[in-house]
Amino acid sequence: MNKIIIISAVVFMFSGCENFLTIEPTNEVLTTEAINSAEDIQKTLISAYDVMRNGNYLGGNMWTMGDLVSDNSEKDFSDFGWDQIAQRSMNLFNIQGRSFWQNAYYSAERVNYVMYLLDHSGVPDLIEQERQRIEGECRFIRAVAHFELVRFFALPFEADSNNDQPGIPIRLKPVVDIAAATKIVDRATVQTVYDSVIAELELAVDLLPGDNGTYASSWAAKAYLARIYFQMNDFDRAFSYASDIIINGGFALNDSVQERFATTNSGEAIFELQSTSAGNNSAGALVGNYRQNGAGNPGFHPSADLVNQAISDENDTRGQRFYNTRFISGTEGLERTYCAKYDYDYMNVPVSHLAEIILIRAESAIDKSSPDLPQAISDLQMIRDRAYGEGNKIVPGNSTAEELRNMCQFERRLELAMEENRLHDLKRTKSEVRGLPYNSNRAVWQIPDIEQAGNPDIEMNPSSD
Amino acid sequence: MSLNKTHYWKLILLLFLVAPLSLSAQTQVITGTVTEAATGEPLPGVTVISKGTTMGAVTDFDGSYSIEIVPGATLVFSFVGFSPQEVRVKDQTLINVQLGESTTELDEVIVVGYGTQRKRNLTGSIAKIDGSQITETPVSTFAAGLQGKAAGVQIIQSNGMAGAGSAIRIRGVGSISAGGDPLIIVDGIPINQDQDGSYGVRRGANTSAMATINPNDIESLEILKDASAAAIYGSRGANGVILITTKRGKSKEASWDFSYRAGMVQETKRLDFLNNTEWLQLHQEAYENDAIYGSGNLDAGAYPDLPGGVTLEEAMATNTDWQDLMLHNGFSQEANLSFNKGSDKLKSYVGISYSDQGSYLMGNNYKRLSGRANLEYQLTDHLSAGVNFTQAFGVNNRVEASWAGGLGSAQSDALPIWPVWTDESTYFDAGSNPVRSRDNKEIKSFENRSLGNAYLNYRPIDGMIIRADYGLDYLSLDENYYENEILRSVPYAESRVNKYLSENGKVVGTYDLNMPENHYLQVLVGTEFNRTKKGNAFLSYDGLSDPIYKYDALPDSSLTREEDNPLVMSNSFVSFFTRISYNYKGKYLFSGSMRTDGSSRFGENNKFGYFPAGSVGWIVTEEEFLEKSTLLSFLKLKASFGYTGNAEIPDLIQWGTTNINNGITYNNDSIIFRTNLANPNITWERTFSYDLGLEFGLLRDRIYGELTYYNKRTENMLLQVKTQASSGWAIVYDNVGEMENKGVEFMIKSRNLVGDFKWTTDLNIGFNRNKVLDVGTASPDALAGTGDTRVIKGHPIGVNYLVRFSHVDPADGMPVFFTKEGEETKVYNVEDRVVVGKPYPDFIGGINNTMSYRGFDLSFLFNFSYGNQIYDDAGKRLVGRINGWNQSRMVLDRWRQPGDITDIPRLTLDGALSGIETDRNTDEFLYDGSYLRLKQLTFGYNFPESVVQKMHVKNLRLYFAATNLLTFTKYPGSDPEIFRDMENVMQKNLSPSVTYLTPPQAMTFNVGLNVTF
Repeated sequence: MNKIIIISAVVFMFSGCENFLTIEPTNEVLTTEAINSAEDIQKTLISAYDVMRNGNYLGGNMWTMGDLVSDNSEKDFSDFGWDQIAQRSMNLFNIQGRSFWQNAYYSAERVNYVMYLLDHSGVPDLIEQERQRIEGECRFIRAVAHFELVRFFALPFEADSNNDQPGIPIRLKPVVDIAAATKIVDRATVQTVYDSVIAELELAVDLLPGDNGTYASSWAAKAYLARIYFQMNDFDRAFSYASDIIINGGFALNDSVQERFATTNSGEAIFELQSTSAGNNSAGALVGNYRQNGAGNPGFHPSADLVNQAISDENDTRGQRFYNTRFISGTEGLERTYCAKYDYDYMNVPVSHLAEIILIRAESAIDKSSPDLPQAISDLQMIRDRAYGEGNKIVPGNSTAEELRNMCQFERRLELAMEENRLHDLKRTKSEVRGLPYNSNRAVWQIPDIEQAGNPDIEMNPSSD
Repeated sequence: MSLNKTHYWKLILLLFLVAPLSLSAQTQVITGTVTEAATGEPLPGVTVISKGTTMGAVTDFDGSYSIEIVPGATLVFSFVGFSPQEVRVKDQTLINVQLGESTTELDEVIVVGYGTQRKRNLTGSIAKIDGSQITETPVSTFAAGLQGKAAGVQIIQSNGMAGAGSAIRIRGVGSISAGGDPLIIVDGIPINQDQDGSYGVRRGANTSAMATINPNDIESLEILKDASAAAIYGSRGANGVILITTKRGKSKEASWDFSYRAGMVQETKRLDFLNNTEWLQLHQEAYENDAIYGSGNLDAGAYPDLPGGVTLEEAMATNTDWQDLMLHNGFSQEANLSFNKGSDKLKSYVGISYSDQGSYLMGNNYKRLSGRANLEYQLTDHLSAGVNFTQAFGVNNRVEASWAGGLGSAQSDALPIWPVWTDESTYFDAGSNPVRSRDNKEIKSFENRSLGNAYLNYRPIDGMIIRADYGLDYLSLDENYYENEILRSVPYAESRVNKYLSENGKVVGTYDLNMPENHYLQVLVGTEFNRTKKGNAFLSYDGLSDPIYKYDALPDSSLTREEDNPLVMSNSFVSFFTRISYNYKGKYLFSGSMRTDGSSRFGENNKFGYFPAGSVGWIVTEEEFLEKSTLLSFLKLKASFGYTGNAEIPDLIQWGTTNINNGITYNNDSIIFRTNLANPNITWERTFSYDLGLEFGLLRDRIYGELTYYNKRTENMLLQVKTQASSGWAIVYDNVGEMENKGVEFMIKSRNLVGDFKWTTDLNIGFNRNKVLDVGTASPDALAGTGDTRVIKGHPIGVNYLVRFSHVDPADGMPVFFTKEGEETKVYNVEDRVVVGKPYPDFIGGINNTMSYRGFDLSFLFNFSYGNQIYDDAGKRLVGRINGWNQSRMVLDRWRQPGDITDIPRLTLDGALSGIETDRNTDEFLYDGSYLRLKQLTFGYNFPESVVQKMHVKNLRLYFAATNLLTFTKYPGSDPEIFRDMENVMQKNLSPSVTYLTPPQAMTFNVGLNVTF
């Protein structure tokens, strides 16, 4: 009798078990039920921009890392990761390297998934044009991630070599299950990474509209292609992409050098990461690292070497506006020159802009297979006229290629100071990186622990030369 | 064992027939009452059998029985916990018997999963600790009172702060990313233990969710160690199970117990730091070193600026002993009052308790007010109903510790050259000032725990009990944090609330079949469910003039953040279980059990787990060939095996989840992103273990001991699998690992002297070897613990993975390291890290001596731990880098000039300039963690009966008790018993014996009195 009661209780409970034992998350939804419209796919795409602007990636630290490891920037505080960067002893635990790696790849993962959704979500309201635009943005975002990563974590691309030095893992496939997440992917060669990035961007150029609001347009993709070919010393292609943008892009240099920072989406902006309020600031890390008009002192300041060049010409509005020499707060009478580019509560991150493209075309014109020095002179003059005031610093018409190249590189350093390019320019031109050979292992970040953790056999960079 | 056919049929008949069988025509009826010798109270449930026959009876509620026997038979009265008695029947028809409590260990009643057993018949490995042993000395949680008392049970108190958390490890640690603490069950209800630490880790220290359980309410505590004992708890038994039974009404007359205790709390050790003169000297020396040897082009003749903007004159005139300002003699007190009555139909235990546990840290104490009512009412002869309920309120006045400040700051970045005050009313604030922080912050948590169950016991026939039980456990923690206008231009207030609510229901049927002389069979069948809701809330305000808890109504205007996640269902379990115990002639013992667990935590492909176990025992001394042995009074050989599981895995990791409602916008557009990848295979960790053991009694059990070998192998270990970060998924959960724990446990209890002067010695020791057998594709840094502990295949869990230090180069004072290959190098390179130590000891144990003479008693317990290493995670900054931190006095032995032979490198202000890697993790800071500690010392006096009777009380005792009085260790840091802030289960598994300015344990001195009236 009692057994019967127990048995029936057991049977009864078994039948109720399945519901009882199913507890789903409440503050999130199941991935299988999350995407129901084209709008949802669009929101998933936007989430990749939110990662791009992460403070450890394009939102700032990536830029500061390049400036600190080279000769544009110095720091005034002690910190495990930044100390390593200043001393050029970045190991696998370098916090900035790790976070940059993670976020750049995270942006790639988000767009890989968006591309997966384009094929698999089956949402009914997605029109072909939208589909292409979304795919174009995806390809752009993951190409940018791979390109920025390979510049920091691998030895430089060299035009006269086969570039079979280890690059970075290429991640173009969606991760939709644990098996895909745990699948081992080794480092591709630098050449393969560049090939892949270029292919992605070329597709993006075709897929993207010329006007895509404040999101990545075909011009943004072309601007990156110009930058990449320039980095590769492929001056013909760099010239041609830069020219295309200058002639056909409809961009115009701002009147003042400051507008790039003070104004959102100004006339020279090709691609910016957007900020809508102080609480929603894409440039948070840049502001945090450099802002000097707030309370206290910023952690970073321009190197003496850079400051000397920047304020060498009193007409240079860049020197006037972007450098401020003042007392160090909390000291009695000690002076320091700080960077004033990022003195805003919030601001857009100027990822690509016309000034950079003009400088790329100018230098490429000198070194392309059929040199065009007049073009270089006029481009350089355009930059100079804005910086120094029209006619204040004339590029001599009879300048030699070498003189022109030096002038271009001088203006480039000043124009783009604290905007990431310095480290890569030094490597591109095979110049010393603050005492290290351009291809020193110490000027390359180590593959982070979080990468090795899932692939213990991944090839690590040599820790010394 | 052989059952003849008749017996077999009797067995079957007995199983299914309710009525007792009458086998003989010539019978007589004997009736009587069985009472307890000491109290005269009736004893229900006593087995009465006619020796050599199958006739038997059980005493009922008022101790009376009635049995039919053949004339001339012998009646045997037996009851667990009492010495059995035999009475030869002559012509009496009324036989009243008094049973005396057994003095031998072997007759003790042991609480096992869903029931009780006599220790003699146990085949599993279970340690029993009496409540009185736990409360012998003041402890804030019962766990602290377990230290050194059970073989193979390691309790590590996190630190000596009031209400501090602890880790309990039974037979080593069997998990990496899943919880490592045992399942804790109070009166049948699995309680919320806060395994994942979400409850109380904040500001450098954690508190224990168990501090709300009043140790004084505990009657006994059983630790189920092996598979055969724990497998009845299935998927939650792999880390062992602690069964807590609270006190219930049992005394014949109503009695009141009152106890009070008060005492002083000190730190076990104060560290030695430099004074201002020394610090200034060394600061200068460090600067000069950097100028001479470094690359910074410094002027060696100059004097460096002092930190905090103080001048040299000010610095020389200031010598602040910051530790002194953090430490004081704390005060603790505790009062308990309880009522106990066990006769009549109502059995009641009602108690109330207040404790105010101070600490040696100023501003830190834990107050608990708790009440308990355990009532059971006999409704009819067959039915009783009861409730056990406790309500506790805890208030923890916290202070910052470790890396967050407080004493941690006093031992690091608060320099002796800095004052507390710059003038009479202004705090010094140009550098760390822990007094300023403490005075102007308030960290206060409020805890509320309600724990209880209600049950019905139905006894349809003799030997059968069906029990239905429903229990609830509610726990909430509200942590208030406040910084006033001295610390912030706008005062800041926050409140964090964590809430848990668990429900537990079960029905268990037990059938005892006592076939006289030969067979004893017990069958248990049961089903149980358990589910837990969790919730949390967060509030923060700017500009409030007081902490949030002081407000009845809060202004909306200054609200800066508000989150309220009400209680939602988080996990559920459904279980079915059975156990069959059988013994033949009380000498061949068999037990088998099976449990099925389903849990919401398990993926759909692995919803139910099955956990079988079995054990056998042979009481050799029951055999004829040993019956006459005078030396060996008891010998039992036993073996067990079984599967247990560990379901302490995160609640929702099986689901692929997407965050669609996150409030994050980019360019004013909202975003959607995935947060977890689905894993429908996720499941419990599975442990196969086996035990071989023997128990022995010598000299009529005056010496009793146990020796056990065990082997536990955990498979399907849940790991936080680190994927390549380039996949976009840093961590996924999967069942991939394998680990082994094996060891030997030994305990012996010897009643050395038994006359007027009594002396008992208890010794227990547990050896454990842990080895990680498989961690999938993980690199050494993939499974990392705080303080550079790692999980590496082939090594014990949590090994110290560090660069080896060789010596200091006498020529330039630079540290010299070993490369991985063993060559010397001056370059510190993390790629040269190797396994150099382990955080868990080779063996642990305790030795307790108890002596009594007349009314006096004395007991002292030493516990010990041998073979682990302690890594001082702050060590690298306490010796040699004079940059912002005060220094350990060890630094006085530093290298000073060429030719000096020492282990302390030359001083530096700035590692970057001097070329000395100051952020180095090397075995310079790894120490032998072995220790022997006088854990408890108690000296008491029980007033003689003649005296107490005049005072109209039954019992009066006065005592002195002290904890952590003496410590013997080579560890030079503050305390060898250490657990850094335990942030999550993995850190808790990997990083015991790691310190980062962790506060030491508490040394306490107490006097108390107990009165019964």
